[in-house]
Amino acid sequence: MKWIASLLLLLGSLHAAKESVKVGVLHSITGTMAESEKPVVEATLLAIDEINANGGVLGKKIEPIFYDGASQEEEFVKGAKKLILEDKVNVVFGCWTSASRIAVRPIFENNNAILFYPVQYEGLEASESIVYLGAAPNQQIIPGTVWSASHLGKRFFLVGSDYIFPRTANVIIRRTAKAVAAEIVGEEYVSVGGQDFEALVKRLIESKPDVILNTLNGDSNRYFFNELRKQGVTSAKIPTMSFSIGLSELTAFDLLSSYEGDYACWNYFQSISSPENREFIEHFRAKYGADRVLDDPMEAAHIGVHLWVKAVEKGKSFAVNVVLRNLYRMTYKAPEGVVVVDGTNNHLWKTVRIGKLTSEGDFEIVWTSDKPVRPRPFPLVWGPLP
Amino acid sequence: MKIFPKLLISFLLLSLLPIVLFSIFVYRTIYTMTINEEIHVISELAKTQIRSVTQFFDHLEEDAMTVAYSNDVLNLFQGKPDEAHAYLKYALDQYGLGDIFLIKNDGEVIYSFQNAIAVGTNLNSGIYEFTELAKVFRQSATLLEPTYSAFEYFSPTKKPVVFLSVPILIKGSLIGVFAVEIPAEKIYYFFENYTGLGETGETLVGKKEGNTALFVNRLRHRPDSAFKFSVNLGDNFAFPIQNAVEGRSGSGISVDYREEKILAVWDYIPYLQLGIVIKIDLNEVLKPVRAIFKIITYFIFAIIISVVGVVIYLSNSISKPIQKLQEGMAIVGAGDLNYHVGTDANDEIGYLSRAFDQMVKNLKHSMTSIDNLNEEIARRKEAEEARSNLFAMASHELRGPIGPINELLKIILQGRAGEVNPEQKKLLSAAQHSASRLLKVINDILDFRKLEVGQMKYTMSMGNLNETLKQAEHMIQDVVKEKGLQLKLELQPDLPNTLFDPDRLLQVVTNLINNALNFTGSGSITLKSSQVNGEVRIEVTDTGVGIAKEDIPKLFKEFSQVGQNIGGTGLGLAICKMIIKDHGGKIWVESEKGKGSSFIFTLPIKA
Repeated sequence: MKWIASLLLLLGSLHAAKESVKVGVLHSITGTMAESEKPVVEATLLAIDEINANGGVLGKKIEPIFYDGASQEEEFVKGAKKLILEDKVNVVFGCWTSASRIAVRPIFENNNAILFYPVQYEGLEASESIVYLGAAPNQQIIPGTVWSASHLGKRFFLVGSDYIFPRTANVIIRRTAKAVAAEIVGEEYVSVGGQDFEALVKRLIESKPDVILNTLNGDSNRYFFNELRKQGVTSAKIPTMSFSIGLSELTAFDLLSSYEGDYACWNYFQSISSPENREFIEHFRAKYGADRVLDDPMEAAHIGVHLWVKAVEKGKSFAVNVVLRNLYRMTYKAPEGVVVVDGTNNHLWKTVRIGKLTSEGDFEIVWTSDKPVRPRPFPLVWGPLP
Repeated sequence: MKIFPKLLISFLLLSLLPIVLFSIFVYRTIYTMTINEEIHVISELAKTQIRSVTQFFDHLEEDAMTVAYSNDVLNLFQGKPDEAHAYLKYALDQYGLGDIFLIKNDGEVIYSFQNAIAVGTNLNSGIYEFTELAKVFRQSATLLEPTYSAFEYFSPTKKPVVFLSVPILIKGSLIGVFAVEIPAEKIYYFFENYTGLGETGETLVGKKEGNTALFVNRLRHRPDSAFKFSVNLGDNFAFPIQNAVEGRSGSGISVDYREEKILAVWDYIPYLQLGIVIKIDLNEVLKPVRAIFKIITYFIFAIIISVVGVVIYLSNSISKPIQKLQEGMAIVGAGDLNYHVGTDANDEIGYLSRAFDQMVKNLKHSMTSIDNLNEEIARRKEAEEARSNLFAMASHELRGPIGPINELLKIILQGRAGEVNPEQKKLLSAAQHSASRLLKVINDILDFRKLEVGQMKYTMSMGNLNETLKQAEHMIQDVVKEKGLQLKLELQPDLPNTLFDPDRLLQVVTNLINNALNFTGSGSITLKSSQVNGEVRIEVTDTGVGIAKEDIPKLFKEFSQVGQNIGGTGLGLAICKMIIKDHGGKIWVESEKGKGSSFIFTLPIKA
């Protein structure tokens, strides 16, 4: 009797295994990045649900295997190894901080797996094993800076978390500022997760900037803005242009009212009025709650899953080289508009937008590139360097 | 169902079904293969065209940057136009450009090669504020990188064009942009190659404008439509271009702007936000496939016709002979035994027909014999009846006078007509015995006749045969004693009652005893009664001469005189047999020559 049961179990699991394909989801749901990355996980799982509800991919249901990066590079490395080497997935949707991405990159490159990376970053990278779903610097940082200079003022104060992205972003900002004759009046860094901004804000006020360019990541933002408002700096006095905060962070850190009148530069805003965006918001709220907000990394993660599925179905294979080949120049009508996988660098052509937070808790779009901008992870050389 | 339709259907099915099924299977396979192959071909074409146009854009961008950063152009920004003119003309001709502009970063146009826009015009205000040139200027100044505009009709030149705007940074500072105007022909060029697209194939390029898809290049089937012809997003035709301008790529069978069925591949070129469709009419793709199947259809018709012909011949060769046989059977069945089917055929039906004819011949002979027999029987029956009647009538006439003779002689013997002397008594006695015997014979004949025609009347009652046997003994014991024989009775004491006519059964027993007497010279006659298996069994056994085996069957037949000719009519046993039979019983004899006889009859015991 027992052996019949175990045989049935084996057959059942084989059948189930045949019926599903495993993918990895690697994000932090604990630690300082949790409030940013949790919604990204949710958006990833929403996309997987949508695909499975439509019959799966190549007839198989997608089975997500999750690993908590816990906001630590070491955990991300462990997670990548487990997912790829033990769980035998060949595609992972994950990472937020550039630190985590850089740490896991060799694991993907050496084990023939793909990482779909949903966050804007500093560029200077084009791994063949990574699909970069978020903005490259020319799709966010540069236009955001130029626009700030022409609309908000030419004295910049730069504040960021101390790791590779904010550091590199500020190098690019400096160059850009030079191009538009803007001046850097201050550049300060706080350790990742840092909460003490009293002295920093004092120095900021003293430097008399026209606009703050903010590359703080994670819940440091909560403490920074609380301190900023505490010391009397309003968005009317000194507006902030942030490159790593969206509605998720503002909601999680209780900043929706204090951030009113300040700016963010992204490819996606919840306020975009397209049929695809309406559907995206509807599906997300139906699954997770009617009061949930959506922002750029969530939309990018959602795009990532759909792009992978499209590539698999086009090439009729889960093999990494076939998927990558079919990803090149793949177009997709995303909530943010048409995105296209560039044929040369695994990045996406994305539309650039700048939004201003309104009293309704949503971003009003004040500038748009109107069309997908070509991704340039490596900056253009404009004649002689500054 | 008759043979002809049966054969026809079977043959048609047998010959056509496999071919039709196979043809359908092959058609579907070839259809799918052809479609997939064509999609593959068109996809490759699309890839090539997109790659060519992309390369064009990339090279143009690089070269524009080179030109933009040339000393001549940089000098131009510093207000020295004439030295740059020759160089820029060279660039213009080299690329087939429409115009070259220099715009300061505040929006002021400081140079236009063709003078299409007056120097000093500001693109951030006035009539040019929302042209693609102005838009792309502002975009490239914000993005700080070379940027392509969308296609538009450029009003100064009244031609569809695309702009490329290159921001110029001197010592890291943005001073303005270098913009070139690219005529649409340069782009169309990549899409007007119809190689591999047959008679009906073409490339469409379109852009999204509001809620429509605007056709940007010249259409093969509508040459005048560039920038003029559009379809609404949501129309139920031209799906490929609708999808393409929306950024959705795909391939398959669809309906084009002429509302014709087509095979298409559609994609999106992000450089100019253009949708691209490469398509070919489905009819053209399937022409060879359809031609093949036309031939196959003709082939199938040919098969149908030949099969019908063959089946007609075949079924005739089978059904005609069968029909003949059928007719023959009907005629013979109706009574005409002289009819024959007659056939020389060597097949099974031929054999069958000849066998049938033989059978009819035999039947005819048998019928003739039977007819003859029947005549004979009828004749004999008539004779029999005549004889029987004669007998009966004669007996009746004879009995009339004999009765009185018998009675009168009895009276005289009794002395009622006077004294009778011994001499007279002797003679009268002999005469009376003869008369009595004659009377008995006549009665026997009459009885036999009655029994023969079933007119004997019985008076049945429940009684015991032992009584009958005792009565018979009483009647006959004198005669038996006279002959010097013993008469024994072996009666079963508890013999059950049965239903019988007492007079007739007495007659039977008496006959049997008389019979025994005639054949027994010495010894005894035993009357036995018993019950055997639900029947009452009476045996009259004698110790006489017995009967030979070969004579036993004739015994119970009328007029048989077996053994010594003792006298009597020979009807006695026949009468017994009929009476016992009428009582539902059986009568037989067990005897052996020289060992005596036992006449036995049984009657069923009726409850």
